[in-house]
Amino acid sequence: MSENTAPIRLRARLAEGYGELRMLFIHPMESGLRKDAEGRTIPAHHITLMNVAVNGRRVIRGELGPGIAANPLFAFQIEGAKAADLVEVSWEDNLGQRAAANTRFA
Amino acid sequence: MKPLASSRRRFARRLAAAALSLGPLAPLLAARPARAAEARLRAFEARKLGDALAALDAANAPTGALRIETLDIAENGALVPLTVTSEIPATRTLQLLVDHNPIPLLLSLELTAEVRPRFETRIRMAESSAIRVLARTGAGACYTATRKVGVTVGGCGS
Repeated sequence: MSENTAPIRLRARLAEGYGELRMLFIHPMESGLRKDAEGRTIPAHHITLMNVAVNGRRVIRGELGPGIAANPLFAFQIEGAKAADLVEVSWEDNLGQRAAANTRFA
Repeated sequence: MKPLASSRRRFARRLAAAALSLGPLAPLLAARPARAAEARLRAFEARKLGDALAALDAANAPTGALRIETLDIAENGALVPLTVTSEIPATRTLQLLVDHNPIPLLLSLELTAEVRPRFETRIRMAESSAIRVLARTGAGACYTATRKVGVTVGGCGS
């Protein structure tokens, strides 16, 4: 993993009639199926859940498996998003770690 | 039987009274049962496509207006970008599978009406395989579509 450990990076840009939300989660997404050089299984460590709320209301709920690539990236389009609409994003992983971040559409 | 049920009711009443007496803390406690409801789909435990589709109740889903934009040949199975778009009205659930991955189910999304039924992400593919999307409408109708992708070097341990 890189030095930068900011767990969530967000970009929320307005387009015509919708808002484009791009999210990057810094996470190894270790599947639990890989083995290290000594043949020991590397324990699973991956995001299992993500939530996106706009102005306090959840609009996206996602369940993830380890088949999502390391450092998961997602892009969504939100109908009718307006300038300054609050976007709150969070994830949690199979070890109970959590991260949250927010931004506003601009 | 009856005494047990009534004692349960009493317990519930006391719990409710206790929650009220906690004042500002009560919402925190009330949030607990909601978290328990965030149960993970059992289909993520499936190790075979057929089991995953059965767990998702999608074994007989007909082909629907779903678009999977991705590479025809992925050099690196560890990072395969794709965009999925549903043209099916009132799509509320989108699920993504890779037929030949050791864990076939990758993603399950629930969307409200203001989210366009479309997403971009990057996935792992262990080997050449079909990518499979399931879309479910608010009324519960389920549709599917697949697209084959050749993988040169598999994404390790996906």
